[in-house]
Parts: sequence; structure tokens; C-alpha cells
Amino acid sequence: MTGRLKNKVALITGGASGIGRAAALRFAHEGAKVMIADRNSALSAQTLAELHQITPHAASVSVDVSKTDQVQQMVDDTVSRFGALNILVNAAGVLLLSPPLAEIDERDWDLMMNTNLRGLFLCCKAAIPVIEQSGGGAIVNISSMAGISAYARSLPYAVSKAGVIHFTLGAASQYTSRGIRINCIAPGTVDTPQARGSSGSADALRKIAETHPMGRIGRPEDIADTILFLSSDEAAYISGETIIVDGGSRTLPPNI
Amino acid sequence: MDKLKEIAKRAVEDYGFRQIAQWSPDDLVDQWDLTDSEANVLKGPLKDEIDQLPVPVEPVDYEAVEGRLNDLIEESLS
Repeated sequence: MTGRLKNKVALITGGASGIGRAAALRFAHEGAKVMIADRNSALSAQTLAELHQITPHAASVSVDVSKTDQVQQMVDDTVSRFGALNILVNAAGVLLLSPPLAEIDERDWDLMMNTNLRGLFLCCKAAIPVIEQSGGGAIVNISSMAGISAYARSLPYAVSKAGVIHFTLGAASQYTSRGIRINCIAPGTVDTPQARGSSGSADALRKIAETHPMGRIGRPEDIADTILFLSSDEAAYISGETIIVDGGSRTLPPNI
Repeated sequence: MDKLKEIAKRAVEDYGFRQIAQWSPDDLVDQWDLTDSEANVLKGPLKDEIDQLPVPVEPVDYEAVEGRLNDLIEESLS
């Protein structure tokens, strides 16, 4: 433990698996008190057990981020448990594969927007007053390269993640002067349960890795390191920014 | 029953949709206008089966897995 987040209280949505889990473990190693929030309570229990091997200052809460009352309860539980809130990491998200635009099921559109964009909005809305009361802090939103480049496999997902980038910019314009830095990360393909599940097959994910400039896709820890940086005082002069963490995928020539 | 079979098929072939079925089933009950008995199957025996699926289900296995889930749905609603 090096203490980069010593005594900071962090709330991480989607904290049971993937990028959220990696961030939670990283934060715990750096001295933070960590609340993981996830709707997968079984997986949350596993991750919480891992956290407790690092620190006694960790807890979990069950939440569907698209539900206002659950989100408020999540923030209340965090403050009740740890007495403050300094850092919010919005890592909860869902990707449903979609057909071309004219065939997209409106229900799928709503499901993705409700979690990826409305959920992020609700979490910020509930957390910001508490972060202000705690003396300020940082919010890190997880977008995606799908929100920057065209992503034909799911237009609703891409639009929701583009929304996260613009949400970050607008929110930072309102709250940076009030002591809350708000930033965003746009990861490329990362080896998470979501990526594995959405790839179609294990072979498809291997092929993506083979064409990658680094010969591999991202690891959740690659993204967690950037989340840690943006959450720490090392990023004290950064707000409203979106950092691409894709291992140089954008340096590849167009596939034409 | 057909709606539930469609939900099961998508849970097999789309991991994101599967997560909704596992952890936010009430959203699907509302969106798909499921009956009470269908909702009970979704949240009960179907969820138990979906929880056990590998990530991802390989395309070559779709037919067998979906067939098994369809049998379960028919049996549960009969």
C-alpha cells in the first residue's frame, strides 16, 4: 500500500466485476475505504471477500443504478458506513448487441440508456451533494471507444457511451469550481466478462487480440490504473477530460 | 410462453441481455408484459439455469442450450 488514496472514501458502481472490480482492489491497496455497488450480489460477495483480504474498510451494496431510490440508498449507505464520500467511479454499464438501426428493438434502446446514461446521471446527482459536503473530490466516468468511433455492433451502446463523454464535460463545467473534478475514460476492448460475453465466442476475442498493436487486449488493471490516477491528487489539475486507454488501437491503419 | 422463449434465446446469445434477465428481471417483466406465471419462471427456474451458462455460450452450442431452456419453460408453465 502506498497511500495515494489514504482515508478517501470511494464508491464504485459495477464494482463486482471487470473494470469496477479492478478499480476497487487498486483503491483498497492505495488506502481508500471502498464501497462496491452492483446488482450482482453473488459476485459482489466474492469481490468483497477479496477486498477484505486487503483492508477491513470495504463494504458492498446491491443497486440497480437505473432506479432512483436504490441509487439514493447506495449513497446513504456509503456515508452511513464510512462517514463521507470523496470519489465516485461510474463503472456500471451494459452492452446489448443490436441489429442495424431500423431493426433495433425500442426495449433494448431503453435498457441500455437506462443503465449507461440515466444510471450514471442518477449516481452523480445523488453523490455530488455528499462529495461537496465531504470537502470535494473526484468523479470518474467509464465511457468506451464505442462512444468515440463508430460501433456497428450496438448503436444504442455507442450513443450512450458518447453521451457519457459529453455528460462529463458538462458536469465538469458546473462542478470543477466547486471542488469536484469530473473526468472520463474511454477504454478499448478490455478482457472483462462483458467483453468475453459479447464477443460471440472465445475465438473472436483471441482474433481481436492478435490484430492489436500490443498483441493483447486491455486488462481491467490497465483501466484501473488510469481511474486511480484521475481519482488521486496527481490529477489535481485535470477536469472535464476524456482519456482514451486502448493500447494504441487507434494507431492501426483503417481496415479498407 | 413464446415471449419467455425469446428472452431465453437472447440470454443465451447476448451476454448483456443475459445480465438483465439475471439481475433486473422486473425490467423485462414490464417491458415484455409477461404474465405472473411467466415472471415466476423467469425469476425462478429459468434464472437458475441461466446462472449456470458459460460466458459466452459458443454459437455451436446455441441450439442445444436453447432447446434445453425451451423444455424447461414448457415444463414449468404446463
